[in-house]
Amino acid sequence: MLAYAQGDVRAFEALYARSRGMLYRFILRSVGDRASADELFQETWSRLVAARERYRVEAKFTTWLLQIAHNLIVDTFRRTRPQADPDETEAVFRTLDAPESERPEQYLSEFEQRRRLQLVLDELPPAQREAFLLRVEGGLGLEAIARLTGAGQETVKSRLRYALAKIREKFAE
Amino acid sequence: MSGDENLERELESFLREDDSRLAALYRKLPRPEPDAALDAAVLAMARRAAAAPAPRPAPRRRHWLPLLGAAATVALAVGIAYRLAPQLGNQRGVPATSGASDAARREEAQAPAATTQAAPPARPAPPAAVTPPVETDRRQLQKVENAAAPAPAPFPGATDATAAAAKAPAPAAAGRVAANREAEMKKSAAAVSESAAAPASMSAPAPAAAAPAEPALRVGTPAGNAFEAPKPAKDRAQDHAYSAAVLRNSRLYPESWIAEIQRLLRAGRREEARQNLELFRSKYPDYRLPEDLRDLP
Repeated sequence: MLAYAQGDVRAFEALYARSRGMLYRFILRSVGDRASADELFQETWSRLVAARERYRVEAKFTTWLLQIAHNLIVDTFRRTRPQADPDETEAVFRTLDAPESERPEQYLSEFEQRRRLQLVLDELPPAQREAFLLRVEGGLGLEAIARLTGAGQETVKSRLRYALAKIREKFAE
Repeated sequence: MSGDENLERELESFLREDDSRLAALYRKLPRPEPDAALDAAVLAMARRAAAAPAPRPAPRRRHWLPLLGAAATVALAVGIAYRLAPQLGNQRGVPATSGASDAARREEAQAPAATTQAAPPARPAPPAAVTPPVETDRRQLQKVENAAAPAPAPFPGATDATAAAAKAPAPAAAGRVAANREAEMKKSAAAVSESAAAPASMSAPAPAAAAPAEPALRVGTPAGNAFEAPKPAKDRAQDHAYSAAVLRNSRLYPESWIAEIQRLLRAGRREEARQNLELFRSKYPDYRLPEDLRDLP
C-alpha cells in the first residue's frame, strides 16, 4: 500500500488480487444482495485509494480494508432498516455461484449443508453475522474484530458464541 | 459432556484455528467474487488516482482561527467603544451643561443691565454645547410659561438678538438700549414674572437693539425657535389685525420699533406708522413716546 501511495499501480493490483474475493464475500454476505455488494465493494476501494496517503504500516492492510467496508455497511444498514426476509435470502442464495468441480454424488448433501449455513448466516443478527464473517472471511482475531467493530472483546466473543449456537441448532434440525 | 461445554470448545477452536470445522464448512459455501467489469472499474479508478497528483492531505486544523476571531471581536468592541465614548460623554454632559447655562441665565436675569452693558462680543456657542440643551431648555421654558398663566409677550428680540448679535454688535448703543429696556421693564412690565424673564434673557448678552430689523425677523437656528415663547392668545388675536410688516416690527426692541415708526412717518407712510404705533401702544401702554408720535392717532 505504501508503494501504491508513491504511485506504483502494480502494487495496488497485487493488493487487489489478494483481497478482492475476501472483501467481496464479506460485503455480499453482510448486505445480502449483489447490487448493493457491487456498489459497496467499489466504494470501499474508492475510499481506500482516496485515503492512501494516510495509510500507516502499523495497520494490517486487510484490517484497514475491512474497517472501511464495515463502516460503509453500517451506513447502509442505517439507511435501509428493514432486513431481508427469507424469500429474499433464498433469492440471494440462488445468485451465488456454485463451484463446478463438485462431484455429482456429493452435490445434494453438500448443497444442503451450504444451504443451511447460508440460511443461518442470513438469519443472524447483523452484529453476530459480521463478527462471524470477520473471523472466517477476514481471518481476524478476537482483538482485531473488537477494535474494528468498536465493541469490547467479551462482547465480540458473546456474539460469536450466539452465532455458533444458532448454526449448530440449524444443523441439528 | 454438556452442550454448553461443546459450544465453548467449538468457539475456542473457531477462534484459535483458521481451519476449524466450522471454517471448513464455511469455505464450502459458494465463493462469489466481483465480476470482471467491477474489477476493471476498480483498477481503472486506482490507475487514474495514481496518475493524478497525490491528494492533498487533509487541511490541518487551524488553531489560530479561533484566536484570530477572538482578537477581531475584541478589536471591534474597542473600536465601537472608542467611537461611542465622546458621544456618551456629551450625553452625560448634557444635564451639566444645561444646568450651568440655566444658572448663568438666572444670574443674567437678575442683573440684565450689567450683563448687557458689558456688551460682550457676539460669541457663537459651540454646537455640541448649544444644540442638545435646546431640548431641555424648551421643556423648561414650556414649564415656566405654563406656570405663569397670563404670560406677557416675549421680550422683544429675544430670538432675534442671537442672530443680530452675531452680525453687528454696537457696544455703546447697546448699553443705552439695555438701560432703557431695563427701565421700561421695571415700569411697564410689572406683571412679567421672573420665570418668564428668564427665557427672554437667554440671549440678553447680545446687543439686540443695535441689530437691524431684517435679521431680527429670521429665526435661523433651532435654538432661536426654542427660545421663542408662544404668544398669549390676546396678542395672537391682535396679530391677525395687523400686516406682516407691522408684526415684524413688533418683534423689535421698543426703541428700535419707535425709530422704525418715525422713519415710516418721515417716509410718508403714515398709515403704516399709525398701525405700528397702535400695536406698540397695546404692547407697551406705559412707554413714554417721543413727542412727534404722541399726537399720531
